[in-house]
Amino acid sequence: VNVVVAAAAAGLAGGVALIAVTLVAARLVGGLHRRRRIDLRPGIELALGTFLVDEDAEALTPETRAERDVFRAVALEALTELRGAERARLAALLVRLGFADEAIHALGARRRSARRQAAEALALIGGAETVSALREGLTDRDAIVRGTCARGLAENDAAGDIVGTILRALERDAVLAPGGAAAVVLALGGHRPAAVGRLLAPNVGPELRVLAAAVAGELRLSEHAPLLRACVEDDDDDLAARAARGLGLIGDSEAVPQLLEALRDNGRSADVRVASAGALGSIGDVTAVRALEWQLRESGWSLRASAARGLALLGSPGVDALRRALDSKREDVRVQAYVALES
Amino acid sequence: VNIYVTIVFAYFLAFVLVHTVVLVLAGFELNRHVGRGSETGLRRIVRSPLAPPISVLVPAYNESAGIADSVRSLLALEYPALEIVVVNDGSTDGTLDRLITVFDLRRVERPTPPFLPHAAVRGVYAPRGRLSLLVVDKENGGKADSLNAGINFAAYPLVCAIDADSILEQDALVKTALPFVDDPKRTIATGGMIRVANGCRIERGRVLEARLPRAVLPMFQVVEYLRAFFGARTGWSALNGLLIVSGAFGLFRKDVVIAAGGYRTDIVGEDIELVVRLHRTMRDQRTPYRIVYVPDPVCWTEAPETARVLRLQRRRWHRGSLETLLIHKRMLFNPRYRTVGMLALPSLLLFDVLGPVIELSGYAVATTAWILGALSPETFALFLAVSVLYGLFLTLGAIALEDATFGRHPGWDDLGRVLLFALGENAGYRQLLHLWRLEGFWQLVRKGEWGAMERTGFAGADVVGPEAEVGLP
Repeated sequence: VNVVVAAAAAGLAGGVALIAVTLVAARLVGGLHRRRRIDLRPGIELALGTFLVDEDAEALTPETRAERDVFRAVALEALTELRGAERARLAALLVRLGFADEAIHALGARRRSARRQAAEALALIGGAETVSALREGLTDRDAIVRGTCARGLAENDAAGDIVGTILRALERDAVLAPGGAAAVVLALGGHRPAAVGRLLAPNVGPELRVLAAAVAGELRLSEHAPLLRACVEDDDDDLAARAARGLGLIGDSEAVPQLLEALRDNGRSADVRVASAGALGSIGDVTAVRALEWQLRESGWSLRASAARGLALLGSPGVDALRRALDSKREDVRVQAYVALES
Repeated sequence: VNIYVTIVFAYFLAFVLVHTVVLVLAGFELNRHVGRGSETGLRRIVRSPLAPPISVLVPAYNESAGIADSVRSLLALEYPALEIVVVNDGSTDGTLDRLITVFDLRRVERPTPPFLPHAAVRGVYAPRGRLSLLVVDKENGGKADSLNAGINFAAYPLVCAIDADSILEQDALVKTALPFVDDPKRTIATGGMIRVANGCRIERGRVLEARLPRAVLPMFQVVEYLRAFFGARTGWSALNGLLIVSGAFGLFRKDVVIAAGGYRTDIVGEDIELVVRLHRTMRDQRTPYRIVYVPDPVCWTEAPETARVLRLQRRRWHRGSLETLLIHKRMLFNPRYRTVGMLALPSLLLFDVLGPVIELSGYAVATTAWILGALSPETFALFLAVSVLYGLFLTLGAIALEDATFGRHPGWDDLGRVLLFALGENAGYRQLLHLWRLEGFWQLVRKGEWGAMERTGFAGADVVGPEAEVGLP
């Protein structure tokens, strides 16, 4: 027993020593890098700032590897904040200094983290030089690289008619990486709003349609209201609820019949009916008063609360309905009506 | 003695195997997490109107001294859709009056939603201005009861449970919400890193400078927290076997918590019990899900500085683990519950709950055997050395992971102090913790204790959870 335990102790002592040495060595090396970055950063920030505000200023040319690393980091951070001509100028500088080429090369690297960073850099730099690399990135084996490239293309004005290609890439990733896909749809909504309509079509997968309905509503893309109305009638409750909320945000009065039908449909999930009640209130069409009043008196807690809030938004007919509810025999109906009136 | 040595040896091997695997998995998971750091797509979503709205629940019992600063710092958190729901749990020190004065609150009519049961609500208050704040004043019922009330009144689909004295970093919610954006259908709960605030420079509810504590007991707890969060929780999260989302900072899907029945109010370990119940409910329903530990959003909490408070805390944690195991004993070694049933809960039972028994009895048996001549001093010393070295190995591994990823304590003197206390905890601190945990065990088995617990609020409560201690066998 002693021999076995002694061997274990020796092994553990070795392991502990190894971790301790690695920890100290990594700290020393990391500290050196960090100090070098800290020393370089203010100068590079100042030079880049001067370059951006003064059109006649000469651009800093980073030479050493450390300078290039810090320059890239500062410039990419700035690109996320900048808009318009300043952004275009900085992106052009990065292309001129070879950072775009570096990233295009790194997009073919074996290391996943290198490819992810490269995709992020290319998506931020944008421009015609990055389009073909970003398109290639759509077939990468890593979902994050694919998503970043798709987002970069969606935001890249030089990419031309790229929507079909992005949609094909999105079909798979809406299931595998829904968060990344949502970021792409959000980018499409901001830069190519018409493309969101293509994602709402019935032949598209339900996951993508849900994302598109959310983006269309939140970005108030009223041109897609007809497609959202069709989505309210879809069998998928997630999609119908998202579309109902979106129609409420847009304020689409033509959606009232579909929303009323969804509200009255007992076979629908509570989420769809609550979203429909809220949307009817936001749209402000008084034809919804009777249906909402009925829900206020007869349905479950969440739907009743939503109906009361909706009625409060419908002007005097809604207020009259809430006042009538104050005479209800049920205390919770009276309280909901009172709270809605108070609001 | 030989039989006992064999049992202890087998137990130690199992301990080493499980904890080494979990530590290695934590390394991979942290590497994966850091690798995603540059992904700005998800961060854009969390800062966009598509971000899932969050209700932050702040149960408060006699917190009048710090509640205003806490709420102010929560209202200033970086998140696009946020409401703060403070639940005053029958405070007797003027907590409600302080809130009414500072935030210009007025009493409003609000029906009490019926989703979860809780003590009677005395009134609901909202600010006259546009602050996204709601204060629910209710009869005293304890922290779990207050959280249930907060969940009922929460307007948003995600609820973040925190302690009134927790301090969240500015972007903590953004980071904690990322898994809900990344995988909205499957993610049901996330938790972040809890760090010890003792010694930090804190002003108006914000940590201005992160420093290590000067006092001895909090320093030991820094070591424990590093080991528990970077070693244990990250690794278990990779296996979807996370048993605890800290009561001091956890984000949950409201509909799932309501469907599971909310927090239990008749036990002390309501945070660990809820998470285990969520695992159980989702597995029973055969619904794909994940409970995620996110290592970089930071919540600062004050660790006990005196032995008396620490003793109470550890007794409570141990009792919480035991209660959870008793309530969910059917999950133990049950393949239906996969990682949780086959690995995480058995690990909790063997190493967390029985660990103190095994280690303390080991000292007694070894000493007796040594005195009787049945155990050589060399064997005893070797076992002790292996035990200490493996503890150091786990701690150093966790420190190395933290250093390589987030490096919150970059100074060499900080590293030196952490290492010193990692070594020093073997000389009495760990044994003392085991004794206190045994007291928690004793409390529970004592006749009449079970099911008849008095709840008088949660003054001084600091619910981080039993996994904070990854002791040695």
